[in-house]
Amino acid sequence: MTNRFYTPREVSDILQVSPTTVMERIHAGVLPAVRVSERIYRIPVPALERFVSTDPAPEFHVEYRRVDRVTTIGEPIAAVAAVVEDLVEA
Amino acid sequence: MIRDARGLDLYIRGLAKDMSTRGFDVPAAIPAEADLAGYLAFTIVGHIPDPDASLAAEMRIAEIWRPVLSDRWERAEYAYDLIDRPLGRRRAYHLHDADAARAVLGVAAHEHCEEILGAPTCDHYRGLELGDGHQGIDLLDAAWVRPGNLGCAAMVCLQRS
Repeated sequence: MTNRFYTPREVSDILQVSPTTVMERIHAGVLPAVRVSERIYRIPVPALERFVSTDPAPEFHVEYRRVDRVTTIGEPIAAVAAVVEDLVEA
Repeated sequence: MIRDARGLDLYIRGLAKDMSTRGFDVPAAIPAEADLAGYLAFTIVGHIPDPDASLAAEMRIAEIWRPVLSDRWERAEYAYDLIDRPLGRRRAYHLHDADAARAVLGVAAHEHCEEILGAPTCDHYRGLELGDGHQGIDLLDAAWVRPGNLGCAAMVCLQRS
């Protein structure tokens, strides 16, 4: 399976910069990375691809629409509650 | 977390940008709803292609905000989901149906974890309330980055399937 992340050292090799520079970019929030433990960071492959890409960053906008009631999110817990009530009654 | 309309709009667009900079493909237009009671809801869906699979992983960041004052809203519910179709697994951080959740689960915030997508061994795991959507994106991205076991077995199950 293709690896989904780079280590900071791998990124420093790819970008031809020092590992310290990579970590500075991560801490500055410029290079997206995930912290997998207290001192270990991983850089997602697609994040680095976007970081080095010359494509312009997309401009996002929110399209609001009027509704009677907003759509619910997540699996309904009320259904679970009904099951529990049935068990209690039984 | 309370925001005015402009702050909320900036926050939503910031979430989309966060997902995008991490490599997720996110449509430029983010759909949002505003209802008669003043509630606002939005869902941002991003996909990340996998070079080894025809299917893409999907991240969904959904929130509902309730009105608290004139031109002020606070986050009332959230559902942050990663559907990792290439690896057939799911991780999610939820807070919704708070009253029912507290009554049934004992807590409002809960999590989902499926080592095999669609075959959870537990319906709801214990979870901590996340501060905002960016924290959700970070956690889900961390789950996506690391292939293999999500660690569901080590989590505290509140409601078994």
